[in-house]
Amino acid sequence: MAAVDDPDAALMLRVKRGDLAAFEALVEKFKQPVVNLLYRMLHDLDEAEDLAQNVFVRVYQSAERYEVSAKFSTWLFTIARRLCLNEIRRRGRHPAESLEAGMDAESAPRQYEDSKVFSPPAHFLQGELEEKIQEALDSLPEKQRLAITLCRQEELSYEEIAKVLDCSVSATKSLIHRGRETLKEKLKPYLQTGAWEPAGPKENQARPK
Amino acid sequence: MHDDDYRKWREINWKRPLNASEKADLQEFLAARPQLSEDWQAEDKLSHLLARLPSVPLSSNFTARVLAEAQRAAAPERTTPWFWRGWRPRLALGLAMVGVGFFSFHEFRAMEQARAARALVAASRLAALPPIDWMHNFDTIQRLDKVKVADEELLSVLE
Repeated sequence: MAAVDDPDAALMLRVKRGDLAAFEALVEKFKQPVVNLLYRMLHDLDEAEDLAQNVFVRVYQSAERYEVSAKFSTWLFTIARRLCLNEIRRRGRHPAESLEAGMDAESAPRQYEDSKVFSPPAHFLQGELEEKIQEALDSLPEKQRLAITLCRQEELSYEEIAKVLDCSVSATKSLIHRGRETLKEKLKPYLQTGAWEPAGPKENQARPK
Repeated sequence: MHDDDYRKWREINWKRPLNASEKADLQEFLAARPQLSEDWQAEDKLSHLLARLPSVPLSSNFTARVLAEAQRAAAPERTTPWFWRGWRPRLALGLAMVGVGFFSFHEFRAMEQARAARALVAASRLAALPPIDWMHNFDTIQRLDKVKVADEELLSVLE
């Protein structure tokens, strides 16, 4: 049972009393992690933003019934997980059709290279790498993908990730392990070459201590 | 040190880089088990790769949109009278309606039973009437007082 010494839970209790500024503070603090999580799950920025908005609206609507029974972030990510899985199921039932699906090669709009844009090789590499990582993540089962993405949230311990996923801690670690094994296999060429590896200080930026 | 330690370092590394002391212990561990070195390198590189995934860009008006939508969505809730908020008053109303329904049904049944009882009493009174052959001249007798003209012949005979 988390105490009210969780500052986010304290903010949420203020929201419960109708304090809009407290709600704004919570949105400001968690909007990026929530959108990141949803984007990694849905791979669609607009959908991720819309869904994140729904997550925060749900939080606001549930404020009157809010009780401090866990860390606020655990509760928030649980709401995000539920909405996200609902959305994935909805997509499964009503898959959206691409506007270009019915076009043949001739009628499809031609792609023109913007010759004025200069991207240094490192940016190309980084962009390609991000794409490959996202592809590898997309290939994972939903729960493994969710577990690995939540694992990146520094404020969430394994116990809290397990609560969000609604499973045991050992099952959570097993999900992460299996997911990472698949990722290692899919990203093997990149892991072996190490061409992506940053030199010196960038690495420290990437993984804050 | 045994495999549990290796698992522990791996789980730490999933969330954050190892600190200097942990790294030293790990190096010592891997020196004794070189077959795990390759696995550790892959683990560590994957952690670095995942950590390099950038945050997705967010609309600058995201917070404003959330606040507006939250207030709009909460508006019907806020305008609802306090005694009607939540599920309890609704449950109470539901129970009251079920109660009224049950009471009405009970009253209806009581009224039906009373009506049946009255019909039974009336029927039992009919049973106490004289036999039907006593009523043989009933219609004639009843019409006697409706005869307006005097029967002169009969009167003279009677005289």
